[in-house]
Amino acid sequence: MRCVTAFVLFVTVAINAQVKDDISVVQFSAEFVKSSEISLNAFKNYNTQTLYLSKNQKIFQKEKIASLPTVILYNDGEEVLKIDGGISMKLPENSIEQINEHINKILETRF
Amino acid sequence: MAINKRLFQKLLGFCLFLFLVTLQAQTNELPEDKTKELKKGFKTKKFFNSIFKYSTFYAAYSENNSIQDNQSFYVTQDNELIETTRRVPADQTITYGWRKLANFQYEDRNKFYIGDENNASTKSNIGNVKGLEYLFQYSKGRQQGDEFENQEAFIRYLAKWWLIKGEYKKNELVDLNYKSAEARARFQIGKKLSLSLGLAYRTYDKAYGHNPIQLYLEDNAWWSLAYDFAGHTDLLYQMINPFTGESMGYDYQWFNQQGNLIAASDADYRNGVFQNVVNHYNQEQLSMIGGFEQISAIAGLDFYHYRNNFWVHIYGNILPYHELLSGDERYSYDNFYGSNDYIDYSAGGVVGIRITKNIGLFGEINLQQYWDREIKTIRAGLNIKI
Repeated sequence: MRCVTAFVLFVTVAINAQVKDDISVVQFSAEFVKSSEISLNAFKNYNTQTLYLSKNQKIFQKEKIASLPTVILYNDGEEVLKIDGGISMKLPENSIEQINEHINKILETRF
Repeated sequence: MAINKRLFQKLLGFCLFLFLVTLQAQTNELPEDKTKELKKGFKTKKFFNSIFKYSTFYAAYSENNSIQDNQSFYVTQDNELIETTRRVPADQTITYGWRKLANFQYEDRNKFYIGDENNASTKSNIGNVKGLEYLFQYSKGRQQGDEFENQEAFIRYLAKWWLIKGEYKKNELVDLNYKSAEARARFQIGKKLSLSLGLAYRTYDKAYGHNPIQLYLEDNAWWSLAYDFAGHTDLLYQMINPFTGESMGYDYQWFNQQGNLIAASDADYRNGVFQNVVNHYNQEQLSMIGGFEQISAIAGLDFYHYRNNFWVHIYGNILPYHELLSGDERYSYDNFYGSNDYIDYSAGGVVGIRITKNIGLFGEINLQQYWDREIKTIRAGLNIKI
């Protein structure tokens, strides 16, 4: 019985995944700026997630998201790069290149 | 002069503008076959990058003093003292390798690879990156006076839903020689937990569990082995007390194939030369049996969580069912155990906690039971920075 309880607890903790694990590219957005989002398909080998303000207010507050959309690159919980739309509410055109550049730097440190 | 300079700058700017426009036009009007060629080139680059990028070729030489025997002496009949201490030459190793193995965040990253790294990635089922990882290593050298040659190959491809892995290890220092290959389906639960299920092909080159000398001694007397296998002979003699002339019993002298005396009694013989005879017999019989190949069902679990102040990495595999593919069934481990549902397993874990900025705890465990071979390593400790 104890083993089962321990296993259930372990799986629960494991399932309770955080958005910041491993190499994660997270886009913080809202319904009204959907057209300004970037496609995260280029990072399909890593963890990707698009979070909307209406459903994830707590995470937005915790991550101190001040403008929309914002893309944050995490490496094992640490924020490595933050790109936001600023007043224009539009992400820079080279956002994907910037993220790729930083992912390459993270990978380089792992080998 | 100033006008000429300005004119020159304008001309240069215009030429540059024309060049860029032309280049843009050329790119826009690339014929279809040229576009295909470019795409092919990009794919080829991507393919080579996936294999070679971040890989390291390394070569290393190391030399250390070996452990020396205690000083020992022999005194002759003429009272001459002869030093018999065995001088062990220095340990040395030369290693060549090529690796593309991602380190986990908790692993110490060396500035240079020298081939003696303890790679957690090769033990667990997942790596710290998806895709291809590999390690090929060859080392040759001498340890405690014994020459050795070690070879190691590891290759794994980790995808979202599956993984394949191949391994080959020949280590003459610990008498290990095996090959394995695995194909598994992978199920991710969240981002930290990964379960896998599949088949593992393994080889083993020894009839584990079987002991030829034990079987021999069940049907034969020990001295038969000395006569028949080693070609040694014995001679019965009576021991007489020189002062009283009384008999002190009987014993045997032992001689090698050349007729030289090698032991003055049965006890001397069994304590010395006969131990080598037994070892040679066992090795010879085991090598005559040959190797085995088997396929097993395998299930695995991997959990990895890393933060700067707390990390945990758990990995484990269980192999509950086996089918022999080749080898003498009479000496297979299945036959020794009595069925093919014995449980082999390997498991390990690493945990680290930084309680405060200056105090940290760590622990590491590795367990493995394959056939009748058990490996167990445990490390734990505390660091206090003052």
